[in-house]
Amino acid sequence: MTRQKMARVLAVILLCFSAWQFSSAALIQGKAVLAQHLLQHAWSSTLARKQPVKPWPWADTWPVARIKVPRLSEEAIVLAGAKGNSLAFAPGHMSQTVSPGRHGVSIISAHRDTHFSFLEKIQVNDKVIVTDPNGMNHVYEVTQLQIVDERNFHISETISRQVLMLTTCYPFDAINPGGHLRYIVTTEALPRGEISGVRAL
Amino acid sequence: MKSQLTNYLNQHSHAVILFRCFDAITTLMVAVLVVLSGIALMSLLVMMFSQPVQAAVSEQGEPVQNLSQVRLEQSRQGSLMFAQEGEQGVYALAPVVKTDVSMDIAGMLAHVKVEQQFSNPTAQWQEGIYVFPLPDDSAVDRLRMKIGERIIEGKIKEKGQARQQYEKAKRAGKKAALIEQQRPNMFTNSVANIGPGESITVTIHYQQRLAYVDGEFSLRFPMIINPRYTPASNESLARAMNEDMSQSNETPDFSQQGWGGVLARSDTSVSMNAYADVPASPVTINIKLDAGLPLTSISSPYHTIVTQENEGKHTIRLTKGVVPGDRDFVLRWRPELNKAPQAALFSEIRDEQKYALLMFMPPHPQHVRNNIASRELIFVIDTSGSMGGASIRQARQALQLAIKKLTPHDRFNIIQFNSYTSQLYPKAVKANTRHINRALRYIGSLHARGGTEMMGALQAALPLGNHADPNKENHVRQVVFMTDGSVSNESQLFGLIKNRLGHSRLFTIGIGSAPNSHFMHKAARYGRGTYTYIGAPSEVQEKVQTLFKRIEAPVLTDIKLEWMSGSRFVDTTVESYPSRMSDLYAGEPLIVSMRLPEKVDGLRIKGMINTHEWQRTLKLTGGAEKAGVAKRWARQRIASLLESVLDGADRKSVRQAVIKTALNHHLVSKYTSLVAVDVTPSRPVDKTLSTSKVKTPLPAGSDKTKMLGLPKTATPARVHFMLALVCLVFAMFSLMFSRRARWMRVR
Repeated sequence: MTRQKMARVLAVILLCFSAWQFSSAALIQGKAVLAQHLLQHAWSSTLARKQPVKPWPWADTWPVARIKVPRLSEEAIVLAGAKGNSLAFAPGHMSQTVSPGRHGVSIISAHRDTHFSFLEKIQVNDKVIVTDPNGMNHVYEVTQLQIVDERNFHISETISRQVLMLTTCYPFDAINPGGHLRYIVTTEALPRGEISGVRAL
Repeated sequence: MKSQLTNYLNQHSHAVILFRCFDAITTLMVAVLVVLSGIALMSLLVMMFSQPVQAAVSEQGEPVQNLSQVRLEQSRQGSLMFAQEGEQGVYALAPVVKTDVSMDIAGMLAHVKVEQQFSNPTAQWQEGIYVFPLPDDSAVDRLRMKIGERIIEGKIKEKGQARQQYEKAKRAGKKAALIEQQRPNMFTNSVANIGPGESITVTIHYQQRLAYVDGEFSLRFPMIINPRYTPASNESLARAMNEDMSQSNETPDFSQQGWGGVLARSDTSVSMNAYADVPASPVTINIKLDAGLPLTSISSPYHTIVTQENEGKHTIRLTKGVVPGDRDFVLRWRPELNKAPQAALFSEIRDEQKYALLMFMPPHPQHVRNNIASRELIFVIDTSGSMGGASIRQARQALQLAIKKLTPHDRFNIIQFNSYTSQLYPKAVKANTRHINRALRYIGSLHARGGTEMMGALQAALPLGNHADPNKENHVRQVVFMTDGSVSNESQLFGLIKNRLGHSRLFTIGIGSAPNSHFMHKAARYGRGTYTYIGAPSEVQEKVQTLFKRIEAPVLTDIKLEWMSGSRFVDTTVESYPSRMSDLYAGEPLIVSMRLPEKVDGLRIKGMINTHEWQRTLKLTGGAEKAGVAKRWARQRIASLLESVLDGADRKSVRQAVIKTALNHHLVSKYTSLVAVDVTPSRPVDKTLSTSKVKTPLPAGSDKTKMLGLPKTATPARVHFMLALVCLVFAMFSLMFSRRARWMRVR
């Protein structure tokens, strides 16, 4: 084989590899975007029936809330459980924590490069609106942004206020998917009285 | 997942084509390319490109690493810090807390004063919120806030009112302190408006009952620590369960259940062995011990202490003076052998009512074990699908441990259930080596699958007429039930337990990260046994051992109290707690708190020792007057009221009754808090209070916290993308090279 041929074979292999990698990346992103549209259906029947509706019959997860950040025009349907299976499609609610909208600390996680990429732009005092399966809207306000080491992260069991934490991996633009740092956006529910004003958002 | 999605799409045609094409193309590509790109090329590429990728990561990671190091660094100093308003790198130190404890021990009660000094090292006005554990049955009754030379006494208020008053004072810039009960053994102390560089001292008083087991008194002071890993405790799980089931915040507190009979239990409620590597806030302890009896020993297992005696009274302090609050403080003392009390009575007159606290040691515990002709232990293990994974492993481990603890006198059987029930032996067998080995093999082969049909297992464990067998003289039958309790027909099961229990006792062991504690607690109550929760594999040994040591030798069962006036019985109901007497096991005394009507002056304790009826009449006159007996009674009454919700008592009326009792006796409870508010504002209105903006849901230093493994939330999409780009560039190079080679040849 000549050097020229070798180069051509290499080029083809590299091109194919490149295409594979591109499509893998696109698949991850595509799934995340597409799934949100598909989940709409399950979410609206959840609201209508006021009980969990699985997006497909054999699914091991179901929509538990919808979160909305009006200032950034971001919106996502949250699935139960924050494991790989649900996170590929949507932000996931960590089942060890209380349901979003309840008193106590609730945690929703999502991938930093799909659903929660907007966390990078979120600021203190931003409003986060959570719709629970009963159709109730809860308005939360961002109180704190932190970076923590996941191995060293605890939540208090004694908080009785309505706290919602949105977490994702940090740094946002790191390439390596591993790492122990997490970005944590802490929000707290506004008292009931202040909600009506915000609803207009 | 992908195929599930595809299947789902079949039913929703609008997106089918798009997704199908997408999927087909990627699948095809992956297949073709996996073949094409040989391992050699892969490793070559990785070697070529991992270098820049790694560099990029560390470049990104560097500043962040620093941030997290700052955080770690500071938490090692035992203080908290919080990011301020999202500005990365700007942190505020939280108030530092120093604790002085002094205890006054007399009779069966200890009066404890906890002084917490909050100092604010920052330049901002701060609110300090401090979560601290107290013993399970502690009755918190007094709060004093000391600002400079002024002392402000706290008042007991309904929880909501107290909170409101505190928040109002906080907004107005006044100093205020609030003690709230989060759980029966967990309290928060909030102090508002601590000025820059200022310190405020908050004093809390509570009293607790001493434990008296096997002729030894003991007292435990849970230290202000942050257990690094604390499995969710019974109560919080129960609360979570209840909240899910009834969507209500008003849930019963379970932890006080039957405390009177179970002295050892208070020692297991707060995890003591998982300590933080950070020095916790400093603590000093000073104790005055007036045992009223000659003592043979005073010891503290986890701290070194200095004891001084003066006319039968002891003063005890820590050798080191100040210790980090990183482990519980336990004090034990033992009366001289023949002077160990067999009974004790303490009384107090409060608001013209007579309250009494009685301690009584049932006779001859040491002979009991020998009297038991046989003990039958039935182990029931849930092998349904919900037990899969870590739960079944824990259950197997616990069961193996329990089986190994059997003695040749014992008889046992193992029942497993999922969709069906099956048992190891048709009937309980002698625990000889052969049977035990077979049982161990059987346990090893247990796997979790199928549904949860608990009814059959309970029927097998509690066969009809298990109490009517005349051959079973001196017979103890204990059913140990291990499950995560995910069942739907709870009330049916409770009915079965109630009807078929007979002389058996049902002990439930909750397994896994989120067992249905409510169910298991209640089942154990109906089964007249106890509920043990095992949250982590590391706890199995300790918890199983504690349970089996305890239930090895029941001394007095079916205990009932009858009230007497002179030598006649009286019908009047006497409010005595615990309202349901649990069985007494070896070394445990009977302890009753009561409010006595005037004519009642005697008490008859009836029960069963093995199969023999036993009774003893005690005079309820005389006895030492002791302050705190009434509070003890009130505390017990509150616990009992909250527990009655389990039996179906109306939540609203329970709440009312609890509030009434707590207000009367000035106690912090689930529904009442202590609040102290300064009269004069101290914070200038134009200065903001830091915590009102920087809220602190992550107290990393000194809170009972739950360790959560946050999920991995970065997709490899970026790695794929980078690799794709790099390959593309190299492909271009290769192509150019081949063109150039051809061009050169043509020339």
